[in-house]
Amino acid sequence: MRDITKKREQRYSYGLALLRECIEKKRLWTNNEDEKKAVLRVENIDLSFGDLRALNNVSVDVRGHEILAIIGPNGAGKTSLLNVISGFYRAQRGDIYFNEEKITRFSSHKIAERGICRTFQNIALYSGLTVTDNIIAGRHPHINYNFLTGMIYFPWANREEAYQRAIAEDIIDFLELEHVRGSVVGMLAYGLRKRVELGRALALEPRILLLDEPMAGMNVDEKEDMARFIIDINEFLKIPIVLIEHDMGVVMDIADRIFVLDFGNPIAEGSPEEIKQNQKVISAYLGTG
Amino acid sequence: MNINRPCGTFDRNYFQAKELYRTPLRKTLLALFIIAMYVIPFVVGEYGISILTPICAFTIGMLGLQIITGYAGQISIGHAAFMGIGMYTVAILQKYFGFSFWLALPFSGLVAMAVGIIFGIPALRMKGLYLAFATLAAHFVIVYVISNWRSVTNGTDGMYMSRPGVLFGIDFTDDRNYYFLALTVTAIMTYLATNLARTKLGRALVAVRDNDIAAELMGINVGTTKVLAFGIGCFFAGVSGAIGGAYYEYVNVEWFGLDDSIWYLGFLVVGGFGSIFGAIAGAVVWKVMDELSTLVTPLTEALLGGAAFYASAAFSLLFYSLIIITFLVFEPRGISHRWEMIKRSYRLHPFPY
Repeated sequence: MRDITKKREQRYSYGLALLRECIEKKRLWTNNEDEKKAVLRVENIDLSFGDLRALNNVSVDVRGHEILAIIGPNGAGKTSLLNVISGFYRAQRGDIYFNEEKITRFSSHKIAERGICRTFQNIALYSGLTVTDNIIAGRHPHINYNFLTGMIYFPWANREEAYQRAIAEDIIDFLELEHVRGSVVGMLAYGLRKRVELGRALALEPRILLLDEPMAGMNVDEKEDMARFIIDINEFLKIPIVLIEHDMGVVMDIADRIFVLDFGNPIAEGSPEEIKQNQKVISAYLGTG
Repeated sequence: MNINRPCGTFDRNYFQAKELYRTPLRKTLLALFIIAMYVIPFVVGEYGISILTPICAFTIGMLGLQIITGYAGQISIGHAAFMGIGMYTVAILQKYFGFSFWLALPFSGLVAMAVGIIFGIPALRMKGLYLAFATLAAHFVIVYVISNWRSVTNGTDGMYMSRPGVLFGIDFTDDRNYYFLALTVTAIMTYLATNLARTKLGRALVAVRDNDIAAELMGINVGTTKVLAFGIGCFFAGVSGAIGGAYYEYVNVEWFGLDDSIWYLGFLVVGGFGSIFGAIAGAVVWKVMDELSTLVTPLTEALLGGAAFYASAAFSLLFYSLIIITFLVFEPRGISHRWEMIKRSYRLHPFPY
């Protein structure tokens, strides 16, 4: 217990310290030279539903610790791309490599265990659980005891639970959810639920974070908060973040690189300045204003 | 916002946050309740014991169904059949292998668990009502096998089984002592179920219930979790069958018909989905209703005359249906939810919310 308390004290100066410690134990890339290296490589993905081509020969890299924004008009295949990465859809052709490991045929929960964590466009929380339990449920693959130990509730199960709770509290503090930590998420407001979902993804010890429209339907204040969280996560945990977002102001501000999709076809990739000037992107999505 | 606990209790560390009973008052009440359950047979006599022992057995079974249906959200219309597997396992092991009751008791759970896992496998591919029909099939398959495998199960004639003999100087053939055994097993199983619900697997079960797609993408192996839920739930059912069957020292295939399986689900609604208290409340209401319906029958003779004899068979059904419909209309979340509301309003007392 004293151990956990001590770590909690450190947190105030570092932010997400406990979680960062957990992640750093498993980090494969170590130093700054590797930051240009691709963590996640998506190669030549084809995805079709019947005759509908959702993704057409899409290749994209996610590097070091960058924020990559994926933009495009509705139905461009942005969410499909995330679903393919997290193993929910199976691509007809193409491969996905995560830290040089081929994860194309992995089942979704194994991909999540590897550290590819995501949030959803339509909130997909466990509505019957409290905020704290949702976040601890996100830690499921990292909890070190089996169900029999849990049923008999040996002292070490209790210690493990307390440790997981400490990490969950770390995340709750970071996302400023203290006032609702005991509430059932089904009763929470939309913006808060989005934040809880981000917290649950964080609890999985992400090595790459996929955010599907984290700011949809929020007001300016909430958007600013969310943008701050995204940048902080990127800084504190030193992980890449893939972001689907329609608010161009936010995207141009926080993204290091932008990837543009249009009807399943990749049409551009580059820094925000390059994308702003790109004629194809302007005609397909941004428009001339 | 969070008013799930009495005023003035705070957690000073994360171990306290995990405690189920925080205040000395609640701990005392729990201890008093357990002591009362052990003292009660000396007060209520033979008749009381004949109600209390089945309540214990059905509580264990109800806890199992709570794990499958209440926590994991997989509807199971075959729970009584798994209870029957527990009964027949004890009977067969005693008859052919000479096992004592003590040795047969864990086996009853394990055999039911194995069968439960086999019939839980459809849950990997099916959801909701489709799964309900798959478990319905489980019920019919099990009953069919038991009633037709005459050489082993003695068919529809039923089998005799024996209670545990004397252990540590306690004679379990005595009804009162057997009640103590049933109560102890119930207490242990309740403890196990409570801890299951608040630890790793319990959260995974609720995650699968609330949003299985998100659960899979959040690192929970949904398939394993569902099958485990069926396995553990059926383990409870098997143990409940063993306890219940040994009380009557006889088991018959007609004791676990389809209606029993459905009443199991119905009274789980009455008790409340997703809480251990709900499972216990459901089992208690079920068996108390059972007794009430037999008590009411003589009273109706004045009203119906000779027809009361024919009506008596329908009374329990009528009672059951009425109470389940009442709960579905007025409190679909069951007794456990109502109890939480009462506690909450008591804690907040002078204020409305």
